[in-house]
Amino acid sequence: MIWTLVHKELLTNLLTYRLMVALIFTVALSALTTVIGSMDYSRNMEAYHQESRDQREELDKATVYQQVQPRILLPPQPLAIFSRGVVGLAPQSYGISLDYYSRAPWPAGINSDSGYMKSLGQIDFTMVVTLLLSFLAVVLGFDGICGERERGTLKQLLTNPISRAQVVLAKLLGGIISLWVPFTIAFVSCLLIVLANDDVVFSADDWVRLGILFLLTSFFLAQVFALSLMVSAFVRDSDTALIICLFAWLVGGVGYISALPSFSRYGYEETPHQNYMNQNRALWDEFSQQMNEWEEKNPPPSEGHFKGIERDGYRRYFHPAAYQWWQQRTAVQADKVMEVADRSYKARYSAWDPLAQEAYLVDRWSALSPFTNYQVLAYQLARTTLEDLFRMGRAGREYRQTYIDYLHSKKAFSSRRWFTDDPPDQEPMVVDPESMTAASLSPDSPFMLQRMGWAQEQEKNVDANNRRLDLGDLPKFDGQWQGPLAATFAAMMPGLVVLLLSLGTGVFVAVMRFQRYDPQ
Amino acid sequence: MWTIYLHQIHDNLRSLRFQVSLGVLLLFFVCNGLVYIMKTDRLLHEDQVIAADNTRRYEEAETVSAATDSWYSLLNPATGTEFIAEAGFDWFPSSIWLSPNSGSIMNLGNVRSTNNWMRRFDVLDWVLIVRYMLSFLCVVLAYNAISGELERGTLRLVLANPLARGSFLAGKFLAHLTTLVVVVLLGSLLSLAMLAMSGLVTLDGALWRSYAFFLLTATLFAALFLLLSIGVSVLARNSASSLVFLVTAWTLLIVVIPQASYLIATQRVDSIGTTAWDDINRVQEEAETALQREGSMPRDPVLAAQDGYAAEKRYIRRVQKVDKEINQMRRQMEKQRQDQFKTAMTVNLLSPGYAFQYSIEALLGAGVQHVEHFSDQGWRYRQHLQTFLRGRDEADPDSPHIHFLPAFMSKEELDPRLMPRFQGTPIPFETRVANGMTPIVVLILETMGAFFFALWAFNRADLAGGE
Repeated sequence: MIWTLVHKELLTNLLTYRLMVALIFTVALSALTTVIGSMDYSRNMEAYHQESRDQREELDKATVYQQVQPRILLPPQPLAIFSRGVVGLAPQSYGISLDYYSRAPWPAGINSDSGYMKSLGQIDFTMVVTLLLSFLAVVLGFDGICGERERGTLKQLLTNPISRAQVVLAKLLGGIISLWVPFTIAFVSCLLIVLANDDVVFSADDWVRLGILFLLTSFFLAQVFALSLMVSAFVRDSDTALIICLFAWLVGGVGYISALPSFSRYGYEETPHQNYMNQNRALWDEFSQQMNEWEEKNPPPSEGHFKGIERDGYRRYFHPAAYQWWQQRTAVQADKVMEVADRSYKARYSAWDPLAQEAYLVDRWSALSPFTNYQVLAYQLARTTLEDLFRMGRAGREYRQTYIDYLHSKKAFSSRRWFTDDPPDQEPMVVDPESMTAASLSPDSPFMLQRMGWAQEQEKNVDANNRRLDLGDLPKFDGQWQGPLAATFAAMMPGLVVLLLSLGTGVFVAVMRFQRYDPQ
Repeated sequence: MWTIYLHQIHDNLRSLRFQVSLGVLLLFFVCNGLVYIMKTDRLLHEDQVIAADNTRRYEEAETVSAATDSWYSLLNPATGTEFIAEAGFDWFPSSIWLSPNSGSIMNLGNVRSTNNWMRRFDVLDWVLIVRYMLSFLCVVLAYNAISGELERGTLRLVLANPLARGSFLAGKFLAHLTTLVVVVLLGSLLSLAMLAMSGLVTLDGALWRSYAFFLLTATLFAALFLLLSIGVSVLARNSASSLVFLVTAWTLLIVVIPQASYLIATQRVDSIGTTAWDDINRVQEEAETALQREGSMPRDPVLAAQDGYAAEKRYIRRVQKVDKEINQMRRQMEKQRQDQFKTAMTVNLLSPGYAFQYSIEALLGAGVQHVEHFSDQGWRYRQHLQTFLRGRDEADPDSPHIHFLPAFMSKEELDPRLMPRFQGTPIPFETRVANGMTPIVVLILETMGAFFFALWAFNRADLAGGE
């Protein structure tokens, strides 16, 4: 008997004009957003390959250790086409250097948006579901009970030999299955569009996540439908039910997501960015002071030793005595730089941690509205939340340690190879600096002009290939930058519990209310 | 017509949807007030910290030479009307670093705090409330303006009266418009009162002028959505399909078009990558190599004095040329970024919500025009600062007068209080009006489009209910 009712619900829902309009719009919009997302993915993938090539070339060209500044590049994740989240579709890049490290990577290269473009929103499939399909759920559910009362069909319905609970359940099932139709069509067409793009390759893990996304969305739509049905069991006429549902949709869907971040952003204690800049400046001032002290204790050789060519991070044709002095200096400097980097990181985090907390706060409080709750769950599923960004940063920091260990193992900091690729027998620009006068060392003196001409001539003949560093044994990045499924589930747990609880509550309350509902 | 009008207003005031609309809009305007009280407060504090840092930069420059060598940071002042339209305030470049030193590049950036991890969210300014909420309320209020009466059968009763159909619709339309505008008026005044009472906003003539313009544009925008809703409601046979159609149209106009503009803009105009900086570095490097070869590098000042700074003069001539070239390249880079964004803005104009928003931004002098105006001023300020330093340098007979090569400029003491400071000025009113012309014309055209649609729908529809 209950199936007869479900069947009837399906027919009344599916054969309406409104469902057709909604179906066409939903499919068109989700297809459009997916096409946009898929194109964006390809553009970003291309940028990723380009950046990787540049990075490899740069490392290949390195002739001194100072130039070895590997960058970790992470490709865009295909699931981000469906839910962009915080990570978005841009490839992420994490620069490795001695003097700076950060908690999160930054969007790489050409795809790091200008400040202007950052002000524009970007749409994804999750957004279409949150706005349009949930709206359809509202429209199907709002007059489920009170509408029948108004039309007088409710009394007739209750004459059937079934319990009232079964009537509600039949309505629920009918509604959910009717919602499944447009959703499945939209989802499958999106999936087909994405699969038609050769750049997109889903891993087995991604397929599992897509499956879960499908289930999650079904539960979300069921939740919205159940809540609408609950409203319709509370009120007598469908006009009122519609107004309540529409405003709940507007406030919960569009309003909440605009108001909550503003409150979290400005209700949270946050220090001006300038404070961090001041701290950072003080740290580096202290560093240069320490280095000055060192230089006072270890005075450099005379000026004539420091004539040579310096560019792109390497030095050439300086006097061996100058190299020796720099070598000692580098050994002292490297440790100090890394120490300042640690302290600067700490200062930055006391300044930026509130920013992360603000973002986390939004995610936590999102559970209050079914719409934002669903969005956050979808982002967690697609691994595009802030936590995922930090996970990438963590992998980057680990690799930085590997890189420093590698440099240590090569004794790079205490070798002159840190800054010069001159062979040991290289003739310096000024061969006998001690015998030079200040006037002859002046850049426009005939001697210096001749030597500079000689050095620039030498530059043209340098065979950089012979001087390349052998970086074959530099460990490749193999960090765990994507969270495993178990971690995703752990993160999703609170939101899922809220979703299931509110779905359960919606159904339960609707059933209970309907027991005492007057069909007159 | 006025009977219909008054009758409808009366109906509206008593209806649940009007009361809830009023509540929701007031709630959001109050939220807006609260958020901007917190935000303005923080901004004032932050700008003070930034100003203190900038004062330090001026004070540390003790001589003309040191002042030439130093870097300064300029801050784009807020328009003070961020609560009406923020216009990318958090994201757009708001500060300039520059040095009078020849060969230094003027750089645009952002020294104020932003939270990059929260970029996916909108800001809760008046424009957002109107764009999202008001347009939606138009739909909610009017989706069954006609189809509802048709369903209830009251339409035939109404049309039985000796009354033109046109005035019937006009009355309904005006009544809805009045109620909505009054709600917006109440809400915005409430938010304004909150801000004024906390002393963060001064209610002067300029603000009231902006306020009037805001209200006027919001009315136009509301009219557009009401006409659209009434038009659809005339055409639709039943209220439910009218609602579904309108909400999907609303999603398309308000949510989807603006979000698609991002991709269109990035496809049409290339983003600026890191290679743009490579070009600048190359120009600098080439110049340096050439100067080294010629032996025109700056020398020890004592030595250089012997031949009257001949090499340094050659050096600075070349560097000044490079200065011009690289700063031109830097400005070009910024222009391309702005062009990319302006492409997105043009696409956004398709959405009435953005035609509305951009009109207001233009009149308030906010948004991308604000940045352009600021960087022009920054450019002029650098020249101004250079002129000042040149003057001070020329007054010193002991100086080698090589402008602007710090080591070869006056070592005479300089009173930091005399140095010209940057004073950001708002965009002149005429320019704002000129900037606002396009979006406002588009908004008017779109509203006219909605009007003709409603008219067409009305003429075509069989209001008597299929008889």
